Amino acid sequence: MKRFVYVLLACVLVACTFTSCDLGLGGEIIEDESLIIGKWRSDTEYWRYDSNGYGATWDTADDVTEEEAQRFRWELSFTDSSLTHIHIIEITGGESVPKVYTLTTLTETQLAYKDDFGNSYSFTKVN
Amino acid sequence: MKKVWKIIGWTLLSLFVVVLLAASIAVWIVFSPQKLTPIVRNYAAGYVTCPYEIGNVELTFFSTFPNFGLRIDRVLLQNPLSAAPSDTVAYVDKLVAEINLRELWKNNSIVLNGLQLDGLRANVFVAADGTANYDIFVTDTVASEPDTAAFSLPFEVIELQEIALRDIQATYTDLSSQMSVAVSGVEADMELDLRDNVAKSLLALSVPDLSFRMDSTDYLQHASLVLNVPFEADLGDMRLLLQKASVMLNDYVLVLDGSAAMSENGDILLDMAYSCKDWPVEPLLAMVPAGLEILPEGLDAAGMLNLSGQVSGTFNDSLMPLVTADVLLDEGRFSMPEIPYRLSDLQLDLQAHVDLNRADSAWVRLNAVAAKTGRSSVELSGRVDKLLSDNMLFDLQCKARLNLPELQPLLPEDMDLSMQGMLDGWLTAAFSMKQLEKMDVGHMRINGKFTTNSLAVVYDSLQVNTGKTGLELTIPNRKPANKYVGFADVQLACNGLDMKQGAAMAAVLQKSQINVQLSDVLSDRRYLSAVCDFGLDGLAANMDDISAELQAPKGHAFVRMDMQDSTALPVVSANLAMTELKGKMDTVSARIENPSLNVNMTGTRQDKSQPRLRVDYGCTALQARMGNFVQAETNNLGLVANAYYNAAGENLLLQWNPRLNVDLQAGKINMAGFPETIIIPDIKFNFNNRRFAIDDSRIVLGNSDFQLKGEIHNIADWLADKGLLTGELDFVSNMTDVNQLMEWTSGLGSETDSLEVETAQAVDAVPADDAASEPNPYMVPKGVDLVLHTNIKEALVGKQVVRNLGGNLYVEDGTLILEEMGFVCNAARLQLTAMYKTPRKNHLYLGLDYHMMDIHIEELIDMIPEVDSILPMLRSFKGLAEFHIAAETYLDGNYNLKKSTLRGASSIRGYDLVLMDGETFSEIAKLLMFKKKTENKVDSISADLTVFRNEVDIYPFLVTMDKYQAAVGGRHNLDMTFDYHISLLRPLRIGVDVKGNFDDMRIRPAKCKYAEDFKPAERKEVETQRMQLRQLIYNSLIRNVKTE
Repeated sequence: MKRFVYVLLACVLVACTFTSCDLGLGGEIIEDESLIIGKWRSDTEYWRYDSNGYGATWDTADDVTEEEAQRFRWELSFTDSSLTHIHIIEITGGESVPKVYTLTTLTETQLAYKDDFGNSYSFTKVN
Repeated sequence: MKKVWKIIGWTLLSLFVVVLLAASIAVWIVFSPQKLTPIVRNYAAGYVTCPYEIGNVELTFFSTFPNFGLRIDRVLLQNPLSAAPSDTVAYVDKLVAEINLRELWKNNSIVLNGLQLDGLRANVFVAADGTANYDIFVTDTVASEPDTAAFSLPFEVIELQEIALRDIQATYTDLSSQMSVAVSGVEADMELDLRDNVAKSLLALSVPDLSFRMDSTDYLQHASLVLNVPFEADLGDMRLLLQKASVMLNDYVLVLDGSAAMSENGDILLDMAYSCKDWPVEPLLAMVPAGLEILPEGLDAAGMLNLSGQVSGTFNDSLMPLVTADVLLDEGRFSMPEIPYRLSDLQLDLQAHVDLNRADSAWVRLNAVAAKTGRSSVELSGRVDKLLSDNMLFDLQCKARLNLPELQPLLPEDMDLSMQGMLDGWLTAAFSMKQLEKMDVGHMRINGKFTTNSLAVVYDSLQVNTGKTGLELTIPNRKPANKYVGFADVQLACNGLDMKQGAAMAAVLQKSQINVQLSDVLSDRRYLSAVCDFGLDGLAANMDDISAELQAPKGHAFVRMDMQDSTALPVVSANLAMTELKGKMDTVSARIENPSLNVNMTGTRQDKSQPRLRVDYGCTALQARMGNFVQAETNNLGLVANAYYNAAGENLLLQWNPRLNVDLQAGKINMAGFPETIIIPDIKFNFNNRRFAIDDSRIVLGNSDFQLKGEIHNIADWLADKGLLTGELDFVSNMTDVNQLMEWTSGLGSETDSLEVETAQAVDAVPADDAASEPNPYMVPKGVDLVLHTNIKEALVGKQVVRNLGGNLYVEDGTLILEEMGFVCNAARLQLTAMYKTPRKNHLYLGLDYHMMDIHIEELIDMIPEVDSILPMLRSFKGLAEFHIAAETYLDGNYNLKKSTLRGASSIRGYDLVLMDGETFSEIAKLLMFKKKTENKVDSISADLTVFRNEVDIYPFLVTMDKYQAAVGGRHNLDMTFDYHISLLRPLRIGVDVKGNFDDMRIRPAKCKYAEDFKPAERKEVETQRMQLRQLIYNSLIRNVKTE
C-alpha cells in the first residue's frame, strides 16, 4: 500500500513539475506596462492600447478602419499576470463586456495571452 | 253840227294820210336800205378797228306797225390771230329789233317788243400771251372823271318783250388759261320789264350742245344745258329774286328759289332755296371727267338722288351763309374692286346744317342709311355735329343682319375658316373725330348687341356649332368690377355649344353666360386689365382618352398685365367653382363634389418676372380611382398653397418656397393587394420652407390607428446644407396591430425587386449576382435632428398585447435612435432603446438596450427567439424573470453581421422558477440523483453573460432546486459549441463539465469550480473578481432602466 502511495505521490509531483514547465512555456513577460502601449496586430485583427487606460480594436477583414474601431478599457496586472479588457457598448455608454485573460507574453514586439477556455491569442506590435 | 263834225273828221283823216304818206316816203326814200346801210357802215368804222362787213341795214315801220323796227343782216367781224381757230370773231346772220315809239315819245319808256338774233357765230380767242381777238373796238383815250352819281335809269320804263336768240353757235378758246368752251344750237327767249329800278324778267335758254375743256380735261362734252330763270331784280336795293329758276344740265335739274341782295357795304345777303330732283347717280358719275381721277377705278354706283336745301345769310370776306341740305338717295347700288361686296338697295336720307361761320354748329343728321349685300343688310342712322370743326362729334346707330358666310372675304386668304349662320344686331357709337383719329375708344360711347340663332364655324379641323348666342358690348363699362376695367363690358350668352376637332377632341357646353370687362386694349397704356365672370350649366369635354364633365361651373378671373415690361408676370386672381367635376384619363378617374379653386398670381416685389402664387382649393367630397390599383375618397378637402419663385434656389423646393395648408377629412384609400381600407379621418398640416407643422393626422389601418402631430423646422437651411433639420413629432396610437401590419407588408417589394433585376438582366445583360449584390442599405439622413414621441396604448405583437408603449424616436444627423421605448406586455414592463447609424454604406451600426421586467421566460423566448441561441438553457426554465440586454454590432451593406464588432451583455434574474423536464435535464438529474418530481421548483436564478465576437460567456450563477444547490457557468459559442461547468454545492460538492454541442454533448465529472463563488467568506481573488465583473455587467445594464 505504501508503495502505491509513493508511486501516486511521485506521479503527482511529476505532473506538477510538468505543469509548471508548461506554464513557463508561455513566453517572456517584461513587467513594464508601457510596453503594451501601442498598436498590435494578429492577421487582420488590430488592438491599440492607449496610455490613458483605454484602447480600440478593429478587424480589417470586416472592413473596419482604425477610425471606426470600438473602444475598450484595459487593465494589466503583473501580480496575477492578468490582462482585462472591458468593452464599452456605445448605446448604454457602460463598460458592459469584461474579458479577463492570462498574460503569457509581453515584450517590445510580442504580446500573448489566453483565456480560461484554452484559447490563446498572440500579437505582434505594429509600431 | 253834223257838218262841222264831218269837216273835222275829213280834216283829221287828211292830216293822218299826209303824215302817213310823209313817213312812207321817208322810209322808202330817205331810210331805204340802200341809203341807210352805207351810213351805218361808215358809222361803225368809228367804233371797230378790225375788218368788218355789214350786209344790209333796214328800218321797218309798216311791217312792225305801230312799232318801229330795225333789221341788220350779215354782220361780220374779223380779227385774224395766229393759232386762232378762225379769223371770224363774230358773224350775225340777222338782227331784228322792234321798239314802241309811242311809249318812248309819250312816256319816256323803252318798250322793245321784239329783239331777235339769228345765226350768231362767234369765235372768241385769247392767245397764250393774252392777246384777244375780241379786242377790236376803238378805245377812248381821253381820261374821264369817275362817275360818282347814283345810278338812275334815263327812262321811266324799259320793257323788253320777246327777246329771242336763235341758232347761236360760239366758241371760246383761251390758250393762256388752257380753257375752251363751245356751244351750238343755242336758243334763248327773254322778257324784261324794268321800271322804278325794279326789273322783272324771264329767261329761257337752251344749249343743246355744250362742251367745256380746261387743261387737258373735258369737263363737258356735248352736254345740254337748259335754263329757265324767272327773276326780279331791284336795282336800287341791288336785290335779285329768283322764282323757281331752274338749271338743267343734261337731265339734271337744279331749281333755285329765293333772293340775293348786295348791301351798300358789299355784303351779299342770300336767302335761296335749291332743289335737285331725281338725279340718276350713274350717269352723273359718268359725267365726271375721266382725267380727274377723283373716282376710284371700277366704281359702280347708281341710285336716284334728291337734294334740296336752303342757303341763307350774309356772304362777304369774313362771313359765309348758312347752308342746309336734305339728301335722299333711293334704289342705289354701290361696288368697287377694293370692297368685296356689291351693295344694293342703297338708301340715303340725311339732313345737313352747315353754318360756315360757326363751325361748331354744323351738323348732319342721318335719318337712314341702308344697304344690302347678298342676304346681309346694314342700316345706319345718327347725327354728326361740329361738322366743320376739326373735332366732329358722331352719334351713330347701326343695325345689321349679317349672313356670316358673306364675311368670308374679310378674312385673311390663308385662314382656313368658314362660317354658317345669321347674325342680327345693333350698335350705337358716340365719339369725336379726334377720338377716332387716335383710336381713343376708351372715351367713346359704344353699345351693341348681336344675336345668332345658330352658328357653325369650321376652322381647320376644328368645328364649332352654337345654339342661340348673344353678344352685348358696352363702352365705357357702366358698372366696372374695379377701377381698372372701365373700358368695356362684354356679355356673351349662349344656349349651347358643340365643339369638335377631328376624332380626338370634342366638347359640349350647355347654357352659358360669360362677362368680360376690359381696360383700354387699344391704348398704349402700361397696364392691360380684364375681369371675366362666367357661369355654365354644364361642360363636357374629351380629348383622346381624357374626358371631363363639369356641372354648373362658374368662375371669376382678374388679369392685369404690364405691357411695357415684357418680363413682368401678369397679376392673376381667379376662382372657379362647380357642383361636380368628373374626370377620366385612361384608367384614372375622379369625381369631385363642389370643388372650388382660387388662384392668385403676381410677380414678386423684388422681381416682377418671378411668380408669387396663392392657390386655395376645396371640395366637399372626392372620389378617385386608378384602375383596380387604387381607389380613394374623401369628404372635405381644403388646400391653401402660397409660393414665390426665387431662381437662386438650389432645388425645386427652395426655388418655389411653398407654403401649404392642407385639411383633409374622412379619407378612404383602397389598394389592390392590400386587404384593408386605409381610413384617414383627418389630416391637417401647414408646410413652408422653415416649418412643417402637422396639426393633426389620423389614419385607421385595419385594427390599427395612428395619429401624428408636431412640427419640423429649418427645412430651407437643411436643403441648402446650411443647418440641421429639426423637429418634434408626437405619434399616438390607441391600437397598433403589429401582426396585421407585418402580414400586410411581408414580402412587399420582393417581387418588384426580382422583376427589376430580371429587367436589368434583359436590358443591360448585367449578371444577376452583380446587380443583386450592389448594397443599398437604408441610410439615415444627415443634417437632421428629429424627435418622434410615441405613445401607443395597445399593440398586438404575436399573441401578446403590449400596452402603454411610449418613448422617443430620434433621427440625429445620420443616427436613428429609439430611446427608452417603454411598454407593458402581459404585465411585463418592457423598455427598449435602439440605435441605427449609417456612417457609410458598408458600415452600419445597430445597437439595442432592452429591458424586460416581470416577464415570463417562455414569452421572452417567443418575443426574442435569438435569446434561445445565446442562452439555450433558458428553455428549461419557466416563470417570471427580469431580463436586460445590451448589444451592438456593425453590419455590412447587405445587413450581414460583422462578427468582429459584436458586443453584448445580458442579465437575467428569475424568481420562483420551474425547471422544465427534458432529456438533458433528465440526464443531469440522473447523474445528480435528483428526486423525480413532476415540477422542479427553482427558488431563484441570477445569471449574467457577455457576448464578444462569437463568444458568449456565462458567468457562474446559482440555481437552488429541491435539496440541491448548483452553480452554472461557462462559454457558449455562436457556432453552437459550448463548454459549461456545473458545480453541485449542496448536499455535496461535486461538479460536472458539459462540453461539445447539442448533437455531441459530453458530460464529465469535474472538480467543483464554483464552490467559493457564492460564499463570500470563502471567496478568493478570482471568485471576487468574477463577482465584481458580474456586478459591473449588471450595473451597466440597469443604469438606463426607468423606474416607475
